[in-house]
Amino acid sequence: MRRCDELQTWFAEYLGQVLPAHQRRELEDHLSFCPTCSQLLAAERRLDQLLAAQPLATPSPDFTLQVLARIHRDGTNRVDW
Amino acid sequence: MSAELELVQRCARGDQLAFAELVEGHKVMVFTIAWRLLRDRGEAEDLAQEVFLRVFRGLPSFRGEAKLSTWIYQIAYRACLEELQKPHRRQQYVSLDENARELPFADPGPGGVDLSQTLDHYLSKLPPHYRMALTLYYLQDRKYQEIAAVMELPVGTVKTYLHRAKAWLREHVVEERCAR
Repeated sequence: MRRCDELQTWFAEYLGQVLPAHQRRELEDHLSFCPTCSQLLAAERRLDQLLAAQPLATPSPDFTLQVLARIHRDGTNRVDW
Repeated sequence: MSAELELVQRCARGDQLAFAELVEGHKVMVFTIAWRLLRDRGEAEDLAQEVFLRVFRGLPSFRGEAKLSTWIYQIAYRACLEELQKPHRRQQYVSLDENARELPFADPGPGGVDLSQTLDHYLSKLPPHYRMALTLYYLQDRKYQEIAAVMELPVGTVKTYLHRAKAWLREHVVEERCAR
């Protein structure tokens, strides 16, 4: 029988629904009688939601123009824009 | 030919609109990577621009063996690591490496009950490679292969980084807060 700490390394793939079926069954069997791992999984699920909800960062509206200007300024362009 | 490779070839031929299209398509992700690793908006913006300069210079060598996004995020990650290596940016991070996991971490956190603020605080304490793995995991639809390709690491190492980072964050952000 696997130890708790070994099974806990499967949490991320379990929550991401990519854990292979036989490992998922083994983990779910374990969770049915291990309150420690069940609590940890609940905490990991909450963390997972928080991390997934982190917003993307948006650069300034003229970002693309600034990049094109830098290419001209730095003489990076090998072609005549 | 894929639409991606066609776009790259148009850029390489000097099509300014094509390059603007390439930047538009990837700027949010590149800026998000820079922002999450550098944690300063102005510096992230400057570095993200530098990334696209490097992309522009490197376009002739892009052969389409990797996805264009993988190649661009790889350039962004390398640029961030270079920036973080600079002496004035040296910062203390929590060590999650195997041999140092038992070291105490004396940081009371920001207090309060806002979990997302608490998460942000503790994320800033993670070493950059752990933060990068987490960033890509949630923004790249949890695809380990993609993360491994961007970070130039084996998939197993990526999984280890994610497991350690999440276990540490879970302990400091969720369990401690919920126990208060």
